[in-house]
Amino acid sequence: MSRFSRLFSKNRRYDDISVSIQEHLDERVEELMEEGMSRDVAERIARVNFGNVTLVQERSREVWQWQRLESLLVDLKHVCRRLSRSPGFAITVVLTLAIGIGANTAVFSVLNSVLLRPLPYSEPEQLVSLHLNAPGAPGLSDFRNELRLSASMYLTFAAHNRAFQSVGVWGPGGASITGIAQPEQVNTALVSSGVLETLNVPAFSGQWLTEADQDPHALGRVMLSYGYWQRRFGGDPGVVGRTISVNSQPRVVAGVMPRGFKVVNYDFDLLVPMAFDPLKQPLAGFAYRGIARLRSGVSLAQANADVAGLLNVWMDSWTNPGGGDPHWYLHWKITPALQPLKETVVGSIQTVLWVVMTTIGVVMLIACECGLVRHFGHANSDWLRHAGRFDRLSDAVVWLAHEWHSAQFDVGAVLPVGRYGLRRRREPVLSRGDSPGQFRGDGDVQVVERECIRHHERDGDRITDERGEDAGDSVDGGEPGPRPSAWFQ
Amino acid sequence: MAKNPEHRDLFPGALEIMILQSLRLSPMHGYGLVKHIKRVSDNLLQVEEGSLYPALQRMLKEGLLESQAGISAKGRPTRIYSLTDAGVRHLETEVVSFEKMFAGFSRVLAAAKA
Repeated sequence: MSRFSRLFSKNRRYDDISVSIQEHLDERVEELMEEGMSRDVAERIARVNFGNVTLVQERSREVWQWQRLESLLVDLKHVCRRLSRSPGFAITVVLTLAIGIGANTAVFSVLNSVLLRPLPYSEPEQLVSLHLNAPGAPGLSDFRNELRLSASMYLTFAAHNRAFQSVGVWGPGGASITGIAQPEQVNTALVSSGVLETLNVPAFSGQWLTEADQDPHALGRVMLSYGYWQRRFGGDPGVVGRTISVNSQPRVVAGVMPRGFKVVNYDFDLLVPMAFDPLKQPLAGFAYRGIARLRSGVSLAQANADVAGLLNVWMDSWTNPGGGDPHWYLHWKITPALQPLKETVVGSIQTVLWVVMTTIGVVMLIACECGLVRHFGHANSDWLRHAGRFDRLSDAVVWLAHEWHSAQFDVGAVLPVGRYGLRRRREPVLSRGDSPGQFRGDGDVQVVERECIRHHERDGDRITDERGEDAGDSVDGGEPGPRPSAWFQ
Repeated sequence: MAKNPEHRDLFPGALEIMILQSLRLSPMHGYGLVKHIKRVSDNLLQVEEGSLYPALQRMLKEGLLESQAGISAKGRPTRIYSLTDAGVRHLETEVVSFEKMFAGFSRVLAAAKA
């Protein structure tokens, strides 16, 4: 059936329902009038017996509707209509939401970039920071909490480790670039072999620095950051292979790293090889930050054990200038405390960001709640009274979900809550006893609205029938909740 | 407001089966169904009018009923509902199921009295 035909068919169904109900009421009125009642009384009694005509029509039409979508549209229309009636409130709500959403977006952007995706590298869970503790270290440097790596340590770890796919050290620096227009001081990242392999981000243009670039007896090539390449060379694709003067030494540009690439969290202009000379390295010189990529299946504890074993190799293999006992460092009680690179990058800001995000979330929640109370106006008080009558948590959850849903404040939050409630609500009626205060198993959030409206009508517009009895009591026993489809008398 | 103890809910599906059984006798419009059930049950059963129309629409959608434009006894335009073949089959299945349930129910009550 085409969409047009379905629409036509649905409209015909809606008309049928209206015609049937109208005829039903007319016939009932006529019967009552034949019993001697005036038309006014007869119409009133007929409507009382029938119930809420609009509601019955709505429930009947729902059978043919795409309920979720159509109820969403109806709710949206309802909200727009209400807001258009009070423009002052509408502006307040829109501004509150705009500011709230803006703040949420801003904080989430930070949260996302800092906490959720801080490492734009492949398989970031394998990346570790080579963190060492040295609680016995003397001196002015704060080695007790973090002892950085010396070049000899790095060379030892790189040569003998079994836990890492690759390992490298790096450090920030500066360099003067001359020979191109104005001389310029740029930020450099000094990297050993293994750093680029560990981070594993392909070059945007050209190639990585290689082992040959780490030759201490040659002038290794350099790499440019994307930003520096754009700023200084205008994105010239021919920059690879070109020679630039770095600290007055000619260096060939090996390649350009892609946009946004950082060495861990350090933004650089130029990558310069460290080019350690193994013959000249002392034990000391704890100046470099180490990073490594774990082999597949190697845990942090295993890597720590591996590094702990290599510390003895390090002390056995190297000396400090002037001799001395290389095992003197045993007094420093150096212990490896490798940590995921993400922790090194994020650090203590993690807690602060979560607190900020939660706070903004709570503020938004309060703003939404205020909007809800205002949105539903005086009727809300009745709805809130109704909330006290929920005898099941799931009913209350559905009611709350519908409140949120109707106000269109946060669909993302509403749907899971609503689904939870609906799952609970779809339990068979018979298993729940026959208390009329409970809801039927229609499995639709809108049922709650109907019950609330019905309850409102019963409480607010109490009607007495010709016998002078409370029509609500005479019809369904007077409890809020659905009327039975049929009953024994 | 307290619940009226004289009014008792029917079990789920009771309204549908009464509608199907009534329409098996002859096609009717909505109000006709209400009156028919009330009359046949000697006023013991009363259909809640507001529940009738959603139930009719559900059964129309399921193909158990079909509706046609017609004229009521008072000469006004309305919809006349009638049973389809699927409706007849569904009714028969449901009746068998209900009879078993009533038989079991009666036996339990009889055993309790004994």
